[in-house]
Amino acid sequence: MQQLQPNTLSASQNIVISETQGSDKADDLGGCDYRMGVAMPGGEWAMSVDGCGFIGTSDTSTWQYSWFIDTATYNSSDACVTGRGYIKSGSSYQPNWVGLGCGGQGGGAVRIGNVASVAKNQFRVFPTAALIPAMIQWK
Amino acid sequence: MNKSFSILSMVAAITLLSGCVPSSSVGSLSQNQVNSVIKKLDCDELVEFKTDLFSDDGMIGFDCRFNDRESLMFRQYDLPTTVGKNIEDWIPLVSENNKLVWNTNWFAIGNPQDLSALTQFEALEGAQQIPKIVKKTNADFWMQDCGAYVVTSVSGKFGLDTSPTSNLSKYEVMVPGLTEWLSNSKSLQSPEIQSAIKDRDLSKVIALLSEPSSGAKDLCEAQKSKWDN
Repeated sequence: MQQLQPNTLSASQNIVISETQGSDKADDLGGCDYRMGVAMPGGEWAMSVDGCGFIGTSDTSTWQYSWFIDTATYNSSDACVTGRGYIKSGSSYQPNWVGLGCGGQGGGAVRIGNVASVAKNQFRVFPTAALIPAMIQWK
Repeated sequence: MNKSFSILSMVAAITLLSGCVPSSSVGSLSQNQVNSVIKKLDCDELVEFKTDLFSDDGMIGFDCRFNDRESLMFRQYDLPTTVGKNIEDWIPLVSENNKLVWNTNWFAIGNPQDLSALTQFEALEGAQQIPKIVKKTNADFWMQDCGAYVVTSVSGKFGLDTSPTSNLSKYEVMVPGLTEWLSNSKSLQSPEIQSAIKDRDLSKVIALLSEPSSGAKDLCEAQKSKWDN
C-alpha cells in the first residue's frame, strides 16, 4: 500500500480558474497541455496521471474534458474514457465519475462546482478485433 | 493562481497531518449505530445510499444535509481496503469547516461539530496516521467506469448534464442491456427519482439508483468477470 503524500493535491503544473468573464465554463488559462495515456487491450485499465489543476468558483462551474486517439503518431485502438468531477449534495460536494464517450475522440463539460482539485481520467480499450493498445491524448 | 492553489493544497495537507483529523484502527458501525448517528444529527434532509454504484464492494452511506452548514457525508464499505481505494477522490474536499475522519471500514467528511456524532461510537483516539491509498483492481476500475456509463446515460436521458448521449450505442457494447434498462426501468420512472431529476439533484438520483431494486449495479456486475483479469 502506498501512503498518501501531502503533495497529492499539488501535483499539477497548471491551474485553471473555472469561472471567467461571466461564464461558468472552465477556461484554459494556465496553458494546460494534453497528457498522454495508454490503455492496454484485454481489459486492462489505465488511470491517468494528474491533469490540470482547477478551482471552481461557483456551484455551476464545469471543467471541459477533451480527449482523442493519437492516430497521427500511433496505430491505436479506440477507447472509452471517464473523468472525475464533483456534484453537490446539500451545501457540500462529493466526487462523481462521468462518461466522456467511447470511440476515437470525446469529452464533455463535467460539473466541478466550487471545488479545487485536479482533472483525472480513466480509460480502457473499446472492444475491437485488433488487439493493440489505445494511445490517448487528454486534458 | 499557482500560489492560490498551492495554498489550498498546503492547507489540505496540513489539515490532514496536523492531528485535526483523528483516526483509529478498529471497528465499523452497525446499522443501528448508523441510524442513531442519523437521529442525533437531525439533518434538514437525509439522502441514504444502499450501495456504491461506482465500486465493486458493498456499502451503506448517507448524506446528512443542513441548510446552514456543510453536509455530513458518511460511507461505510464491507471491506477495509475499499476506503483506501476511494479516499483519494475525497481529499480535495477537505477544508477548515469540512474535516475528514475515517476508520477501518468507513470515512466521513463534514463539519467538525457534526462529526462528533460518529466519534462517540468509534472512540477515535486522535492517532496521527492518515488513510493509505490502496491500488484498485481491474474489477474496481470496471465498476467505476461502468457506474459512470450508467449514471451518465441516465443524466443524458433526462437532460441533467451535457452528457454525450450519442455514445449510448457504444456504452451498450460495454454494458449490454443498458439501453433496454434505460427505456424500461420502473425505478427511473418512480416519483422519487423523477422528483430528484426535476430538482436537478444528481446526487440524490445516484442514491436512489443505489437501491438494489433499480438493477443499476446489476448491469455492471454482470460484466465484471469480463474485465477482472
